[in-house]
Order: sequence, then C-alpha cells, then structure tokens
Amino acid sequence: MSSSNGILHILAIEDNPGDICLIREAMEVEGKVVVDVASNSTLGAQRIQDGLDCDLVLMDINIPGNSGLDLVSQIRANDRDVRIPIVMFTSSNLVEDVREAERRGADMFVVKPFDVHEYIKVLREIRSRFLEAKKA
Amino acid sequence: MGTPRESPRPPVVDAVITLGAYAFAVYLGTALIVPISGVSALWLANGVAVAALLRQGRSRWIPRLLGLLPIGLAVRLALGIELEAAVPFMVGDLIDILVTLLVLRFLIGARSTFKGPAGILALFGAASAGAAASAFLASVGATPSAGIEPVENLSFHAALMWFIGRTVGCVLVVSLVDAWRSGTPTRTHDRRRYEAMVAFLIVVLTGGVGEFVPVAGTLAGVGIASVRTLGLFLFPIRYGRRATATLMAVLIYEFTALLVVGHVSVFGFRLVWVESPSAVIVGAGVAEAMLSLFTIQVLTLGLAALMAERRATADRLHQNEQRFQALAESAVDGIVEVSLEGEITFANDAAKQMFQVDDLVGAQISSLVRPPDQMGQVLDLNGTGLVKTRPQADVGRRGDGSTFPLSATWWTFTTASGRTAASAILRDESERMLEEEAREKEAADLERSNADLAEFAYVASHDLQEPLRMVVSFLRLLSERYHGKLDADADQFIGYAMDGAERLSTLVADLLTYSRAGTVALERRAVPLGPLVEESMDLLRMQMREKHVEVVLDELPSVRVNSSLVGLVMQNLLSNAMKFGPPEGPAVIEITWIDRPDGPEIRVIDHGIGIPEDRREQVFQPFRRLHARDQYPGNGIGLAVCRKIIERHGGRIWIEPTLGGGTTMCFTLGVAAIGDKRETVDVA
Repeated sequence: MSSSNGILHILAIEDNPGDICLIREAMEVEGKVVVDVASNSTLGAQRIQDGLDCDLVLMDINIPGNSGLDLVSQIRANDRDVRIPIVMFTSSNLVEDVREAERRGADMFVVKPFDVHEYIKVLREIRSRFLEAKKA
Repeated sequence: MGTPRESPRPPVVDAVITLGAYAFAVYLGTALIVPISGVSALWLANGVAVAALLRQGRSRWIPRLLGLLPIGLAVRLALGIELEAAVPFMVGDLIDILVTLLVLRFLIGARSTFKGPAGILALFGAASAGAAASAFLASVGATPSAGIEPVENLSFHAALMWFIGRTVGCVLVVSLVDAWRSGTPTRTHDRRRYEAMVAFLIVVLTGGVGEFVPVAGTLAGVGIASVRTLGLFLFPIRYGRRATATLMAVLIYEFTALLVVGHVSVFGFRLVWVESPSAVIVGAGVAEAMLSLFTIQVLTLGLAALMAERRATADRLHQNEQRFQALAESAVDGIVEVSLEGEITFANDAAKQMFQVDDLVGAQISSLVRPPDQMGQVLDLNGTGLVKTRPQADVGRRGDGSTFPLSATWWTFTTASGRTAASAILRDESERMLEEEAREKEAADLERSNADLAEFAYVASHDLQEPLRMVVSFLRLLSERYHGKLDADADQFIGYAMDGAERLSTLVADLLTYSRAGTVALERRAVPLGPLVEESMDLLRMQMREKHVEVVLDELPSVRVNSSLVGLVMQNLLSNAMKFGPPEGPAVIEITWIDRPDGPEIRVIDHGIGIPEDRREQVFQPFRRLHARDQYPGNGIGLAVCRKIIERHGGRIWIEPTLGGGTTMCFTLGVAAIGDKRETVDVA
C-alpha cells in the first residue's frame, strides 16, 4: 500500500520531540526516505484508522497511555494484503512487555542505546535494511 | 475470738457480782477449806478480787479495792474467826492484791478482760500470791486459838521465798493469759525475752520452795506445783520450743533432787524428813500427789507442745491464706474457683472487673465463660491429682452481655474435705489481640512501603533515564557540531553541562542496577562458580592488563544460584580488588573457598590498600564512597549491589583484612555446594 515511487515511507509514532528529531536526523534522505510523525498515541490511532500508507512503523512501546501495545493490535487488525513491519523501541527491556508485543504482532525490538551515536547508527541500520527490502 | 473489751453489763451490776463473788470465796476459803487445806481457798478469793478489778478498768479501782477489804473482814468475823487472826488475813489480802495489780497493770500492761477458762486461770494465779502472804502472816502471828492451825516448820526465809515466788508467779500467769487472749503479737521481742526470763526464774523458784522447804501445809505444796503446771502449760505456747526444752531439763533435775533429798520410799510413799504431825497426816498422799503432779507436768508439757504445734500450723495456714489473698487480689489475671456443680465459690477483683460484675460468688461459671469440655470428665476422675489444661482461647461474657476474647487455664483439685473443684486463671485478651492486629498491620505496611520504595527506585531511575538520554544526546551533538563556533565560554559551559549530565547518567544507571538487583526474579539453577568467575574476568580483561593483575583461581564448587546476579557480584568484587589494589607494581588477586556448615564461603583476597575496620560496614551502603572521585572513580554502588544480591540468596557478605595488608571479601550463598565436597581449603 505504500506509494511505489521507490521512496521509503516511515511512520514514527513517537511523543518525544528529541527522539523525533534524532529519527529524522538519522533516517531522512532527500528523495529516498520520508519520515512521517504521529506525535502521540491518539494521532497514531487516527492514522491507523485512516488506513496506513507507509512501509514501516517505528514506535515506542511506552507511548504515554501505554497504548503502544494496543496500537500494534490495531495495526494488525487493519492489515490487508500486506503486513506492515513494526519496529518497536523500548527503553525498558522488560521481558514481559517484549513478549506481549511479539504476541500482538510486532516484528523487531530495539533497546534505545544511551549513546547518541549508537542510537543514530541503529536507526540507520534499520533504514538501510528496509531500503534494501524495498528494492528487492 | 472477737471478745468485746468492755462488758456490756452496767457497772453497778458488775460491782455487785464482784463483791458477791469475793464474799462467797472468802466464806468458802475460811469456813470450809482452811481447816483442811490451809490457805488455798484464799487464793481463789484474792484472785477473784484482782480479776474483778482488772475487768473494771483503771478508773476508781482503789476505792473498789478498799471496799473489798471490809467485806473480807466481815465474812471472817462472821465465821467466828477472831479479829486478832482475821486482820492479818485482811492485810495479807491487801498486800497480795495490790502487788499483783500494780505489777500487772503498770509493769506488764495487762488489759484483757478475764472471762471463761482464761479468767479462771487468772484467778488461780492471782490467788497464789495472796496465799503466800497469808501463810507468812499466819506463821508469824496466828495462834491455834484463832481457829487456824499454825503453819509449822515454815521458816521465815522459806516463807519469803514462797511469797516472792507466788507473787511473781501470779503476775506471770495473769500476763500470760493476757497475752494469750490478746492473740496478736503486740509485745516487742525484748519484752518477750524479759518475760521468758522471769517465767523461768519463777518456775525454778517455786520448784525450790515446793521441794526443798519442809512445807507444813502440804496442800500448799500441791498448790505451788499447780501454779507451776499452769506456767509450764503456757510456757511453750508463748516462748517456743527452746524454752520448753530448758524447762524439761529443770523438771528432770527437780525430780532427781526429790529422789535424793526426799528419800522417797518407793512402797511407803513416806517422806522421811517430814516430821510435823500435820504433814504426816497427808504423808504418803503428798508424795503420791507430787509424783502425779510431776506426771501431769510432763503430760502437760506434751499437750502444750501439741498446742504450740497446732498454733504454728494455724499460723502457717493463716499466713498462706493471707499470701493467697494478696496474690489473688493483686493478680492482673482473673482467678475463679468453681464447684463441681459449676458454681463460682471464689473470684478475685480482677475477675470481677473483667466481667464488670460486682460479685461473682454464687454465679454459674457457664454464664461467663464456657468451662472446658473435658471438665466434667476430669472431675469424674475424683481428683486423682492436679489436672491442668493448656491456656485455651475462649469468649467471655460481661455483665452487660457484651463479649470479649479471653484465654483460660483450668485445673481441678481436691479440697481437704475430699470435694473436687476447679480453678481457672482467666486473661482478658482483647488488648493483646488489638496489639497483635496493630503489629500485623504495621508489618504489612512496612512490607508494602518497602515494596513501594523498591518499585519507586526502579521506576524513578528508569524514567529518569529517558530525559537524561535526551540531555546527554543533544549536549553531545551540540558540543560536536558547534565546538569552536561559539565563543570560548560557551565551549566551557557545554563541557561542564556534559560532565554533569554524564555523571548523573552513571548514577541513574547504577541506581537502576541496584534496584533491579532487588526486584528481578531470583531464578536459581546449578552454576559452576569457576566458569562464572572466568566470565566475569573476561569482561574486565582490559583493566587487568592495564594494571598488571594476576588472578589465582582456586577450583570452585557448583551451587544453585542465579547466575547473572552472582556473576555481577563476582564482577564487582574483582573490579574493586583491582581498583583498590596495591598503588604500585603488579597485583595478585586470589579467589578461594572454604566449606562452612552453611555452605561454601567464597573469598576474594587482594593485597591492596585495605579498608579500615570502622568502615567495613559502611562500604555496603549505596553510594557510600571512602575516597575522592578523582582518586578512585565510581559511584559506590558496587558493594551495595553485592550485598543485596547475596542477601536475596540467603547468604552473608562481609569484609576481613588480608594478612599483610589488603582486603578479603567473603560471602556465602545460603546453599550448600552441589555434589561431592572437595577438601577444605584453609585460607589464612
């Protein structure tokens, strides 16, 4: 369902402006990668409701309201012929949370590195992995 | 006994009775008895007088006494005794009564009324004094023509001794009766000793008069012995067993003396030294009387000892009773006694208060508290001994119908009369239960607050990390991208901010580790400690190389623990051993173990700077540092984490000094080693 103009569309559901800034900084590439942001869980839910138009969802497992997990369920409920990959950031590494997210259909878990350069590196790795997947 | 002090009779009636009795006694003594027995009836008369005077109190006793004398004189004259003889008798009466009264009243302080048997004893004692005086006067002045046989062979000295002995004897008897009747030990110990001494002297003196003076009126001798018998009878009651034993010795001595001096003929009962006709009349009878008196004395002593024993028993009983009363009434617990039929026969104050009832005696125990189920059964055992229940929880019912928790301890016993009864100690438990509830609530509160605190520490440190990550991240980007582009101050400020933020982030990370060590699930599995230590060493390899550290690793056992947590302990201890190692030169760290009763004790030994003794507990507190940060870096969380982990395992961790300097960290894990135990390695 993503636009097939070769551009990677990423939806980041993230309420922390610093993180949004870093995600944009690390991932956006003019003409190649677009990062769209839903800055809270309500907006995220709205976007899902409207029908997602992206290649990848990045979201924090701990969006206030603890709705990260609910949003995963919601996305999976609205999936049509394509299963949108979901990468979840977590700053806790609470095993229970991860298992629950997995059960609901999240695909990948990343513990936010404390070091800013590590963080940027991880984000870029994700970006390049999905860019390649898109090309393929 | 509760004898009233004052006679309820009006004084006039009392006086009439007294005078009548006196007149009658004088009449009896003079008219009927004197011709036969000499003077003994006069003792009775004078005794009546003394007792009567004592009875009427101190007031106006002199006119009363003086009033007696003309009556005695009149009676004697009426009986045909010449004035010449009757006057000495009267004077004898006067001296006798006066001396007795004075001594009794002012020296010994007798106060009792003399009634019943005690009164008779008093009369008897008092009378003896009068007899002595009369006999003395008679021996000097009386003539046969006066109608009275003169007392022959009574020497002046003997008569004097008799007089003294009997007077004092009279005093003794009355005072003894007084003391006996008063019942309570009102006299001091010294007074008692004085009395005992006097009494002893009297017994000896009267004995001397009785046996060694050739007494003409031998019934007087019998009288003396009678007085002594009475004295002896009272003696042990008042003065105790030791005094009694002394008296026994005196009696034996007297009897021996009687045999030797008197030459008592065994078959004839004849006193060879008694020559006078009046004595011969009674001859053998007197000897017999003396012997039987002696027997009576001995028997009396026995009886007196028995009475003393009974008195002592009564005293003990009384004392026990009082002790029980004191105990029962001062007890905090309720004490009740219950009959076989379940009726309360005794209840102390505490019980009454507990049930809020004014009197419990007569009430049914079942209205207050359920008696034990087996009580009936126990009672059926017919009191074969003390059967006691354990304290049992129960419900008490107060007078107003409200209930309260109590515990009851029951036992049964058999009374002296063979009846079986039961007692119970009842304790009001409402307060204790309230306290217990409060304590339990407190404990639960504490547990919850501890859990809350742990949760708080975890959440706080976790949630702090997020904003901190932002601060650190953007400061870093700021300093990287704008270094040199702003002015020098800006670069410096950014540097300070970075420094603080990074320090804060390690603190938060440490706090998170610490709280996680206390909250993470403790899943135990079999862990060989050797490889675990090596794993920890791998993480520290770089540091080890830097500091030229050599680790000597003993062969360690396997234990059931949480491997990641214990691994963290090993890592912290090794890291500390390295950090606080010898300031210069290569360091050796030894890791050994000892088999202890509570499981293996692991010892991490370094030869570094050591920890002063007074700081060896402090270092286990979170964020407690002994050194400046620039000297030895770190937040001081390592050992706190170690202690938390070790204690969660049920083990202990402590610090010992290493021989020759350095620190030895010791810990146990609350479990025994798995499999066979290798030989104990002794580490000095």
